[in-house]
Amino acid sequence: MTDTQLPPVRPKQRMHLRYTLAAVACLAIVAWMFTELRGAVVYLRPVSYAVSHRSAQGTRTFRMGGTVVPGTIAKSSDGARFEVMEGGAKAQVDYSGGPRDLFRDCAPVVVEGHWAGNVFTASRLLIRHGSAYDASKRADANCRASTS
Amino acid sequence: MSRNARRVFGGVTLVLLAITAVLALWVSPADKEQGDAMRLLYLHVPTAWLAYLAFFVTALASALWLWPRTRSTTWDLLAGASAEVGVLFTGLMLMLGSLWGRPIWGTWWEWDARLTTTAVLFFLYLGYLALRRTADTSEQRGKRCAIAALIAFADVPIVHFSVNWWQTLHQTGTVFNPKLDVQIHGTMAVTLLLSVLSFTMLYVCLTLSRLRLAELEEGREQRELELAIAERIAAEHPEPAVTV
Amino acid sequence: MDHNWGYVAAGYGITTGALLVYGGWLWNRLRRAQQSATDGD
Repeated sequence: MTDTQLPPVRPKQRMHLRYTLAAVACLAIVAWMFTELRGAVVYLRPVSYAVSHRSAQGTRTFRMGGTVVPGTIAKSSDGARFEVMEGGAKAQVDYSGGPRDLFRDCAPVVVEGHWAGNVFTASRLLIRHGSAYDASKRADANCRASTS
Repeated sequence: MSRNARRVFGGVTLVLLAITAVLALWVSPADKEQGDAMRLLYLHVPTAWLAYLAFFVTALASALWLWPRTRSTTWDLLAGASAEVGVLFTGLMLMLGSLWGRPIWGTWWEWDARLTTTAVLFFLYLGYLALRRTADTSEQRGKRCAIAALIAFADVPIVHFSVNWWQTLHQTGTVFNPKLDVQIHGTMAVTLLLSVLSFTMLYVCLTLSRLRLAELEEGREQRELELAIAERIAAEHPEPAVTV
Repeated sequence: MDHNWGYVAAGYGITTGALLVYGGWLWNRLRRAQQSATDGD
């Protein structure tokens, strides 16, 4: 009686190994997202915080969130200069990068960059959208009403 | 559910999905600010809701499997079925969000708290599905996977509250925000509500079908296993000790 | 913003496609499993 007469072991063990590796790979991706990218996440600060902590921020890169002050947008060939406001504070932004569809007066924006003196030098400009949806009314009505 | 009940439920689901598509793409107005990109949210929001629901069902079924008094293979198989459908919806949610983010935010992807925790959710449950296929016995699978499902579920509340806990790019809830202040009205709200309803019904259809498939395959595997054991015993004892 | 329709079409298209593929796969496997279950008995 030899082992060869026994029914062959199905390739199940090999499949198990393959799926174990897949599960481990998924966990590794999760770990990578949590650890590596926790440092890569650039925190978002409101304009008022960014202005009051200007010296502490130094030239560290962070994100600043606020509303575009109406009438301050001066577009240039490689970006735009404008002011953002939030919580009674205002900051001058010097953005170089591509144009954005929804960028205009009163747009809620997120700029990524760092302080260079009193000017925030931004390399990225994102439009932060609110959670309200409406067919006829724009979410920035308050900003427009207060400045016109 | 009986065969007829399943058919009626499936039929109603398809009709509601069709009505949702018409409302979302034609009847519903474009958003004043976002234009037509907003229509992507009629799919993004329901798929996000279903990811939560699917993984909640997986966690609940896993807990019921772990509790000795309610232990049954069906709970384990339901946990797996729901997780598979949940991973599908999570993947769709991420894809739809990315397609919306490009024209509105100006980026396909950001390592934003909401986005990152959601991507983590996707890979956690993808890993869970792989884990389900690594066990030798259904007992071993049930135990491993139930514990894994309960741990993975911890990410769901983190995903949900991430927009309130951290300052993120992602907007807060339009309906389920801390103040429960609904910020969508009229045709848009009706469309979103119908979309959530029809997608929830689709989730029920898919999960129950997946559960039935898992039960049938589990039964077949069990028969094959018994057959293999019988063959082995027969091979070890040439005398007809066991009849197959 | 007409160009947004491209993103909308892609989103609805991929969603429909993915659901059809998954639903079809499920349907086929279920039919085969049911057949073999009744054959075996």
